[in-house]
Amino acid sequence: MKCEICHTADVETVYIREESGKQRELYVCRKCAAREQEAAASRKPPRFIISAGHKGRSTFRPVLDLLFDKAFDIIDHAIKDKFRPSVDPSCPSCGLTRNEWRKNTTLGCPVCYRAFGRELLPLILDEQNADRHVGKVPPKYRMTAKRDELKRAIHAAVEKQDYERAALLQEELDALQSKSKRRKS
Amino acid sequence: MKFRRKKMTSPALPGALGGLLRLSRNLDGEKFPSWASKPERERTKEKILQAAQEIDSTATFIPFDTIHQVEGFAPFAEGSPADSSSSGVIVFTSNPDKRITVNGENHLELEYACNGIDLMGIWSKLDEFDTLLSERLDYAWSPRLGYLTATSANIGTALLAETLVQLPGFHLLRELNAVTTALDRLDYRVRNIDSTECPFPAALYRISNRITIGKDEETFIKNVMRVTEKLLKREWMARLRVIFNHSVFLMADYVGRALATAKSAFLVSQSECIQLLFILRFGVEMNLVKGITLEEVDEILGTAQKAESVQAQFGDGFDIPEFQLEQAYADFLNFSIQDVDIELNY
Repeated sequence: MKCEICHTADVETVYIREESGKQRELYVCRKCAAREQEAAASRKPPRFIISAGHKGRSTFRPVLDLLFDKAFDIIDHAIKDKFRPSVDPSCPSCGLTRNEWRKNTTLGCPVCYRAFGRELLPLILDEQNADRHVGKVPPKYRMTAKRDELKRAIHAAVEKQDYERAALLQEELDALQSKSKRRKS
Repeated sequence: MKFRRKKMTSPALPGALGGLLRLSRNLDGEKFPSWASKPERERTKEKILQAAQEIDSTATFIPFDTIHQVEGFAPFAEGSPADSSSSGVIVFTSNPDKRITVNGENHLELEYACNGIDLMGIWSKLDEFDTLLSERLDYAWSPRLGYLTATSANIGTALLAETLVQLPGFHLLRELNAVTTALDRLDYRVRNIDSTECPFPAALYRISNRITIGKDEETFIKNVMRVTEKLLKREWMARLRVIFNHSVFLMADYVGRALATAKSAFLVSQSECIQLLFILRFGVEMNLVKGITLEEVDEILGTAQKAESVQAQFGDGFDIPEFQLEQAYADFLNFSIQDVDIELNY
């Protein structure tokens, strides 16, 4: 599996990124993980400023700041834990979560391809160097597949400004659609 | 010492042992087997079995629980199906080369095997069978991604085109690593299936397609066939290089050692027996062995896969049960190849 950030190196570690209060697991290479950690550290505001008192004498302020920060952190975590929304997306049909799929590499049901499509398509393209099926079509879907193919061919012909070919293909598509309508009626 | 060449004709495709085509299919609206519950898997099995019996009334379901009891049953392709009563294989008495694995990694895997590597010859039969099944079963299919499978690694055509080859020429020249690396770079999967129980590697390899999407089924099959043919031609050249650039003794030593083990061993496991027979087959192909023909070796290989027959025929008179099968196989080998010997014809 390739790194989800650079898409070139192999996955070596898991990095948890916080995005608008939600946690997201990323499977990344070591370099990208280190870069992400650095970027996260630079984004973090300083928690408190240790200020020296007048004439070099220390005051209680830093200690108090530290205590308040800790107290707010504890309350913040408690609230977040209680009302945290589900951050792990899941398949609406079989309930398989993204993390379960990433751990087992097997999907739960055919609907998972739609549910995790955004992540799956680059993965398929990376593994197989293609992400569009060419080949056998089940008899039930043959008409739909032919229609889609014609639509794509019309689009390509129009882009090439080959309007004659586009018109011919459009006629073919119309004939196909009327044929399927007749069959349905 | 100089040997006069007696016969040196290349067999059609030396080392071509077998071929297999497998189409993985899943039913729409059902969970994939690894995530499905037992009743769900049972329901899927019933649907598939009913459809198969409508097409061919000789279809019989054998669960994986009891498959070891079936005489001579050997898996066509490697896989890790769930071991339960709802997972198994549908076999057809009318055609033993045809088979459906149910609830393995996918709901159904249609398999067709052949003896040589003529995969295009069996593709038309498999395609026809798949079309008949698709009229009765609702397959999970997407216009963009094709046939949807449990893992994204074989999506699209969901086709596995595989050939089984023997490459002892490359093994003797120690060039197998270069061959497997080259095939790997060309997006073919190469797996060595030699048993670790046998000290003599038979150099048995399975070659299959790794890419399953972006081209049609026939292109994938033709590519695997073309690569296998080229590889086997190179293998033949490698065998000739062993004889003429090195020495015929290198090859004779390899076959002779295996033959000596086969003749004198007292305990031989089934996988070791098969491997030794494959080395003997190579010796026959290269005209290094007298007293047996290629057809006879293939026949012995066929019998060697039926453990129960071997045990029934040769397993009498042994008291220690854990060694009974090994002793039976040793006796079977001794009996089958007693008149076979090395003959240097070059």
